[in-house]
Amino acid sequence: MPSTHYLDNRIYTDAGIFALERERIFAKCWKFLCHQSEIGNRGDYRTATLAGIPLIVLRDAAGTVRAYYNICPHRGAALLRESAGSIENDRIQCFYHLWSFDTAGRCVNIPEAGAYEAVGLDRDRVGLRRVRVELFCGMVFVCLDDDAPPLREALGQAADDMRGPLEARPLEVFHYHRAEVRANWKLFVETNTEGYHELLHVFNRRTAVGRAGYRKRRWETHAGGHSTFHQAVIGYDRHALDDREEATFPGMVPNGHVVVDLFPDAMFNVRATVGRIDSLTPMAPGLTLLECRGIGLADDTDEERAMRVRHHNQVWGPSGQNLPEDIWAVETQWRNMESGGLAYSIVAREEDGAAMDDAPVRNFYAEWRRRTGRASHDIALDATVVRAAE
Amino acid sequence: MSGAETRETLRALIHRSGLCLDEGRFDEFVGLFADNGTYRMIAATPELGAVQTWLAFDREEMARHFAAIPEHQWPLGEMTRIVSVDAIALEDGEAATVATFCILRNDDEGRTTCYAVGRYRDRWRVDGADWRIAERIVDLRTRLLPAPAPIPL
Repeated sequence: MPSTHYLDNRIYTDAGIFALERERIFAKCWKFLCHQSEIGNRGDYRTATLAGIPLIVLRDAAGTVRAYYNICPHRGAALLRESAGSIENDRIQCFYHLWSFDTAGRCVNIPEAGAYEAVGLDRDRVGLRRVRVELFCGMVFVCLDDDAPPLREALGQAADDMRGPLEARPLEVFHYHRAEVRANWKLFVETNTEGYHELLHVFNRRTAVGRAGYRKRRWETHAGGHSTFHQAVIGYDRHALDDREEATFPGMVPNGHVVVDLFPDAMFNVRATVGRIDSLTPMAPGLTLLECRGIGLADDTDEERAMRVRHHNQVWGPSGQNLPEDIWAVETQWRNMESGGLAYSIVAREEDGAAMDDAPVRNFYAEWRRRTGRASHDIALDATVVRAAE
Repeated sequence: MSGAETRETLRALIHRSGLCLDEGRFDEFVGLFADNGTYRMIAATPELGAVQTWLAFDREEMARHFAAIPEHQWPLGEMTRIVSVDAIALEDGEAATVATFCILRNDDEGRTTCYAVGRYRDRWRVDGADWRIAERIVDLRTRLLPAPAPIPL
């Protein structure tokens, strides 16, 4: 079997690999952090963690979206301690020694500042540490690496595949929940990146796999580890669920379904009338914070929004048909991989890009190898040496 | 039925609703609802500054959901609900109750953890000779579940 078609299961469990991923992937890549509707007003903020670094993303007093380390530059205390909120009077005040900053990141007040005059502390040089932030279709991405290419370049072809449903009309996040997944983050990425596991879900078996034409549905892999599961029609009526023919997202056919996976951790998924954005924060080799957002159109009527909430919850909500099963599946994988009971995983399905092809998983790992420098079939090997040998 | 007897009946029904879910007696749980009764699980979400609906059923949808459970891979383990009835208000053949619940989960290895806490906010009405749930709102305090809960809490 080609080395690209199986995985050394230590990629999931090894602490050294986990540290390498944090350093070479999460500290280097653009990462989806939130949607602009979550910080719709001046002063609104969200907090998050990227590669272990606590961050703030906010809308400043001029309406610009900015991101900073959520760390007081004085002595390192946490600045904003809630997951979301609104900054009043354009002032972020550290609770510890009451240093204050405006939403443009400038230090605007140091209590008892006279004591710093002897050493010439310059207030203009102790502002908040900025982080790169860019928006695409209203989605806010951040990047810790000042040398990384711009977001649009990093998204490549995947960006074009998202424009249809996500760009034509303003969107709004109406659902947010988190789950602690007791598994390695890549195992959850894989559930979002391969169609073979649709066999796990009775919902998918009935509404997708069992439909004529399912085998014609295509995955397309892109540079950078991204992939698109192109649009297909889903038979919701085959599982006693509502048809999704009215008030569909722009570019979506009635009952249409499309998925775009972005390396390393984000998934954009539209089921005709409603969208979902997943993102992951690896906490430890065997612990991942999953954030799930449901999205609708910003100008929804009350009836339309109620319909989207209902459609969202039927499949993707915390009590939906799919999400609990996906989590159970990857948690059982993790336990067995941690036990050392299975040394390798097989990702060898080849179906010319058809629905159950493992090509998008292999594409993810091609980018993973490029960034980590490790071989995914044997973590002891240097990926560049393996490539040269091949 | 006196007010005291009614209160005792409602208290017993609330506890029974918890036992039905614990013991997988889902048909009996559905039977506690009025014909047009509804179930809704909600969670206040500071990240969005809003209360979200996580699950909503009418009685028919609920019955369908329960009937489909054997087809799913939802090994939630064993749940034990501790329910305390906090308030009962009676008015003109209707009632409103508030109960606090704590759901403990036993996993496959016998380990017990707290799964979720919250309140049942129920509206009741007399349906024939019996009190039935016209509306149950499961108001979750727990927002980060160790694994999501496809079975109503």
